[in-house]
Amino acid sequence: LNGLPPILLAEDDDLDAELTQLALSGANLENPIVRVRDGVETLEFLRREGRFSETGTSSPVVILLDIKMPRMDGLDVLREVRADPALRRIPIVALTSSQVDSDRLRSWDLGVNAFVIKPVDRKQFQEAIRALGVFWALVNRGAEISAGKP
Amino acid sequence: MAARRARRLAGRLAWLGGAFALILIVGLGAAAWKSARTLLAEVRLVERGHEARALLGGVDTSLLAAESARRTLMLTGNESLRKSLEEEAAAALARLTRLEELLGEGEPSRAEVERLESLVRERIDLLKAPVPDAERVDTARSEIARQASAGQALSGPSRLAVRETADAVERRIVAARHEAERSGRRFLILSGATGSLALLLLLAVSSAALLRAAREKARADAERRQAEELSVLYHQAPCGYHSLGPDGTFLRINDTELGWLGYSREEVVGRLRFSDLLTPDSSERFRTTSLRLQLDGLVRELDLDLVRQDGSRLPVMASAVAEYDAAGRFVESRSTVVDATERRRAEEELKQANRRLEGTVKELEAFAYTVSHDLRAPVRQAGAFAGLLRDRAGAVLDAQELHFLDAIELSTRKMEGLIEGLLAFARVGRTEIGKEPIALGPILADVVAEAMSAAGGRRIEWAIDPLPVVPGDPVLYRSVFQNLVGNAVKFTRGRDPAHIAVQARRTSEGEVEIRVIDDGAGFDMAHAGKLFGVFQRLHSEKDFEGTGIGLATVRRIVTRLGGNIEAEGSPGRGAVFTITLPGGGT
Repeated sequence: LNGLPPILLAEDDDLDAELTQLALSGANLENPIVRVRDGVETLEFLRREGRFSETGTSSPVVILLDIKMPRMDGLDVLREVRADPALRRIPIVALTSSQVDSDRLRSWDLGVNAFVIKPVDRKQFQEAIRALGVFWALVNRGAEISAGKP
Repeated sequence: MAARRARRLAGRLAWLGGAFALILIVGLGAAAWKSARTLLAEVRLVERGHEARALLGGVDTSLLAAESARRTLMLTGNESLRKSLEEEAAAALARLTRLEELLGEGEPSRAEVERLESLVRERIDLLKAPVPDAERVDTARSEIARQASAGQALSGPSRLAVRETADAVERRIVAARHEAERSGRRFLILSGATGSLALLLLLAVSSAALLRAAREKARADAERRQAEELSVLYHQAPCGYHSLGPDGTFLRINDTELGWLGYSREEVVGRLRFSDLLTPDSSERFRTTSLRLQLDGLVRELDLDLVRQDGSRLPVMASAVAEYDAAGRFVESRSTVVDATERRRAEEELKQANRRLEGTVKELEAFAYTVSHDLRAPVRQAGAFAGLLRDRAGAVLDAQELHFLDAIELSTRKMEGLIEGLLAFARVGRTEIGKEPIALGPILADVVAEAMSAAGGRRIEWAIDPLPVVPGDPVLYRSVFQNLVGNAVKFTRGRDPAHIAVQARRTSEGEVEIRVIDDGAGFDMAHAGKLFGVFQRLHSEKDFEGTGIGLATVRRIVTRLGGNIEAEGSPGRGAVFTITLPGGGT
C-alpha cells in the first residue's frame, strides 16, 4: 500500500467488481482499492475486526457500496456506518443496478452521498465522484504524489 | 274487509228471508183455517140451498094438493076432503116456517120468503073459505071458469105467483152460493199461489242457508288446515323465527330456534329478551340496530352471535321487520334468523384464500422483481465487456468481427429493455399508491418533450387538451403517459407529419376520461385482446421495436388506480387509447 487512504469497494459480484476497478483505473487514481464481498466484511474492515484486525490501513476516503450483497446488504451497512460516530463522516457512493428503485429512496434516507448505476463506466463514475466533492481531493493528492515521484 | 262485510250482509238477508217465510207460513195456516171455514160454510150453504129448494118444492106441492082438494071439495062437497086440504095447507106453512128458520135473520132472500109466506097464507085462506053446498057445483064450475078466464088474481094470489116467488128465493140462494163458491175459489187460488211462493222462498232460503253453512264449514276447514300448515311451517322451518315486544322480550319463537338455543318455550317467551341470548358484542350491535329497525321498519342480514344454554356460540344472520299499530307506534319486531356457521366459515376460508392468494401474488411479484434484477447484472456486464473489447481492440477487428460485437451489444441492449420493462411491470404491484392530487398536465408536457427529443426531428403535430388534477401517484401517471405517448410516437413513424392528440373530459359519472389518439399504423381489432397481455405484440420487431410489456404495465397501473383502459384501432388508420380514472380532483 502506498500510504494513501484506500477506496473501499464492497461488491459481491466479481465481474461488477472488475468493471468498477477498470473504471477506477481509467480515472487514473493512485489510491489503493480494497475489495470486500459483503456487508459483514465491510464493517470488519471499517472497524479493523476479523481478518482486518491486523491491517493498519487508515479509514477509506470513500466507500463504493453495492446495495445487494449476501449476509448483510448495503442498506444495513449504511445504517451501521451512519450510526457510528467514528465512521459517519466517510462519504458513501451506492452502486445500484436500477434507475428507479425503492432501495435508492431508502439509501437517500439513510444518508448516502451519491449513486452510480452498474456496470460502472469511467465517465459515469467520475461524474458521481465530482458531484460528491471528494474526487478532486483524491485525484489531487494522487497527482501530487505521482508528481513527486520522479 | 269487503268479504267480511259481504258475509255479514248475506247473513242478515238469510235471516230476513227466513223470517219472511215464517210469516208467510203462519199466514198460510191462518188462510187454510179460514179457507176450511169458508168451505164448511159453503157446504152448509149448498145443503141449505138444496133443502130450501126441497122446501119450496114441498110448499108448491102442498099448495097444489090443497088446491086439488078444494076443487074436488067444491065439486063433490065431500067434507072429508077439507081435512086433507087443511093438512096440506098446514104442511105448506110448516115448510115455509122451516124455510125461514133455514135462512135465518138478515138473509137477502128473507124479504122474498116473507112475501112468499104472505102469498101462501092468502091463498091458503082462499082455499079454506067455506063452500056452500047448493052452489058447490056451480061455484066450482064458475070458479074454475073464472080461474081459466081471469087468472089467479081473481081468487087471490095464484099458484104461479107463489112459484115465481119461490123461484126468486131459490135464485137468490143459488146466486149467494155461487158467489161464495167464486170467492172460495179465488181464495183457494190465491192461497195456493201464496203457499207455493212461500214454500219456494223457504226452500230457497233454507238451501241458501245450507249452502252458506257448507261454505262456512269448508272455509273454516281450509282456514284451520292453513293455520295448521302455517304452524308446521313456522315451527319446522330450517331457520329461526321469533317476534319481540318493544322492550325486546320474546313474544313468540319457533321450535327450530328453540332447538338451536337449547331452551324450552316457557323459559323464553315472556321471560327473556333477545339481547339476553347474545354475546356482549352482538348485544351492542343488536341494540343500535333495534333503534334503526323502529325507524326504518326493516333491518337486513345483521351478523350476530347467539349464546346457547350450554354456553356455546352460534353465529347467525338475522333480518327483521317492524310492526306498528294504527297510531304508528312500534308494537313488535318479527325476525328471521339463519344459521350462519357455514357462511362464516366460508367467508373466513375465502378471506384466508384471498390472503394466501395475495401472498402468492406478492411472492410472484417479488420473484419476478428479483429474477429481473439478478438477470440484469450479467446482461449489463456482457454489454459492458463488449464495449471494453471494442475500445481496446476495435481498431484491429475486421468487419465481420465488428459485426459480431455489434450483435452482442444489440442483444444485451434488447435484453436490458425487456428486463427494465418487466421490472417496471412488477414494480406496479409493489408500489404503494399515493392519494395526493396530481396535476397531469405538467407530467404529460415532460413526457411529450422527452418523446420529441427521442423522435429526432420528426414532424409531429400535437393537439393537447388541458388535463385535470386527479388523485394518485406521479411516478405511475408518468409511466402511463410514457407508454401511451411513446407508442403513439413510435407507431406514427411512417407519417409526415404525424398527428397525435390527447383529449380529456369529465364524464357524467364524474370520472376523468383521457384519450390518446394517433394516425399511425393502428392495429386489427380482432387481436385487441392481446394488446394488454405481457409480452404480447401485434407488430413485428422488424417494423416496430418493443418489449410487449408497456401496455400491460399501463393496464396494471390504471387498474390499480381504480380505472379502466380500452383501445380502438384499425390497420393503417391509427389507434385510440382511452383511460378512465376515478375523479376526485378538478
